[in-house]
Amino acid sequence: MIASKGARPKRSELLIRNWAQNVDQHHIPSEMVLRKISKEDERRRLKAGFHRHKNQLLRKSKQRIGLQSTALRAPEIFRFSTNGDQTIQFLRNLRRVATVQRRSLKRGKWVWPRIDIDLSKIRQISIPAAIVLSAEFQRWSLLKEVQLRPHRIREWDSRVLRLFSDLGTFELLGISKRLEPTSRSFELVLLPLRSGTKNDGQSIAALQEDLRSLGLLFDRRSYIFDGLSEAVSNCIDHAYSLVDVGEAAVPRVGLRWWATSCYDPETESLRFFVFDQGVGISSTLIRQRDWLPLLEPILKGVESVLVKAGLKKPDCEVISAAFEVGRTRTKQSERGKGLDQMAGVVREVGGGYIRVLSGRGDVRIDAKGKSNSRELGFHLGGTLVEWSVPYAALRGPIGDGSEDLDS
Amino acid sequence: MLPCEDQLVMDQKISIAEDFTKYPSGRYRRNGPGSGEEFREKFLLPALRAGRHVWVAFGGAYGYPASFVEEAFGGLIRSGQQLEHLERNLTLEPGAAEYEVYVAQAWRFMREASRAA
Repeated sequence: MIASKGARPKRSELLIRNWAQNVDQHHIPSEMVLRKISKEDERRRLKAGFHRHKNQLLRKSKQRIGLQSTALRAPEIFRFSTNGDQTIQFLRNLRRVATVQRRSLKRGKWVWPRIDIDLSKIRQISIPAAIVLSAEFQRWSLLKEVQLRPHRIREWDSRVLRLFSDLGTFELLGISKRLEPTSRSFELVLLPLRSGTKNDGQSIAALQEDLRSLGLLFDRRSYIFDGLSEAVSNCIDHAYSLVDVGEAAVPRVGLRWWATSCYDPETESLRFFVFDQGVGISSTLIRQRDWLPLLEPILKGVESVLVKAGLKKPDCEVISAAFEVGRTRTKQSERGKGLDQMAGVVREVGGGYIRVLSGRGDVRIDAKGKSNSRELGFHLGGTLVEWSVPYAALRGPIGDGSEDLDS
Repeated sequence: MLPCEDQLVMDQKISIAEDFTKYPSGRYRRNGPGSGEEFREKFLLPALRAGRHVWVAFGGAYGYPASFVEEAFGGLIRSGQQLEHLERNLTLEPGAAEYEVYVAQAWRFMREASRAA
């Protein structure tokens, strides 16, 4: 088997020679050195060795063939009021990455991109921001287009863990085990996030009833139910009626609304939230013919000319004007009645506020109808309505069963 | 005041909470259960078209969103009912003080719809 002098040795001969050279080093029994390797054997061994080598490299680089992975890190302050632009920018990045890196067909196989959500940097988080982020998780969970995974979850702040645990978001991220925060220094009572695509009066009523069943003693109020129900009706009837060019590529999950409620011990108030992922109140109102003449006197002068010219109006001013129309005009359109009933919640209670984050507008209206507004740097990607009413204003006599509808 | 038993034989009493839903919500049927359109078409219109006097009791429900009330009662005018006919043959009973505002709202919506027609 030894090649003649000058000729190129065959591969099989080389293998044997290598073995022979390594015998002393590896203490291989001498009888193995002389074993002849067939071509078939040789081919099989080379192929196996190649695959072992390749898999070893892949394990070391932590890559999987065809799987894309992107990490998104949330800012330290995750609140709309004090860090609105960075908070919304994170949400927009999540939508953009998930939309662009949706599942695709590669080499004949479906590839599911993975997005690692890193909330470890968050030191301050608000309930509205947590709700909007949870809704975003649910959107992609329902669409099944990407895999969302929590990243460095052990480093998440206890308040972040508590909020997402109470909202029921961990299940959407594929975490079955409930992660308890290490400290419970606050006693926020936050209900799981509800969602639907239809007007569901019973779900809306549960936003009050579930708080009462947790031991909060207050009389249910019909006007709270009315305001919440009108907000949900707005979602279904108007929020998704247009396609916003800027957000056109982001897929929707039907005419979906999300809602929850909580008792906030810091402000001693009951807070109710309704959110949708539509185009925003301003966009839909401007396009409704019967609204433009109503808004004009309030928007005044040059601003109404801009609207007629189709130029972009500050969302916050349009929203403020719409609530003013709803409050002051007796001959209201159906939508005006709904907006008025939404604002009427705090008016009836005599305290608290209603806050509307819609598009780029952030408007807060108190019980006396006074409004504060500002324009955000980016489009929120939907509408979030929040009612905050003083708990003391709703408390009724203990043991009063007159509010029990089933009695 | 609720009608006496003899009168009820000729009339029809509808309790929204007991006969329809405790959670009225929404305007159109396509938006979900308990809508104003469904209540109007299933309960109000058949009774009114049969020539009966209709008593509608508001008590016991969780609340009445404006879109529900407007579609249920304002929609009667849009469905061809005349305001004068409704004022003679439709009675709305609040049942408790907290529901009086909804009764007033329903009549306001019917008058507005009549003016707009």
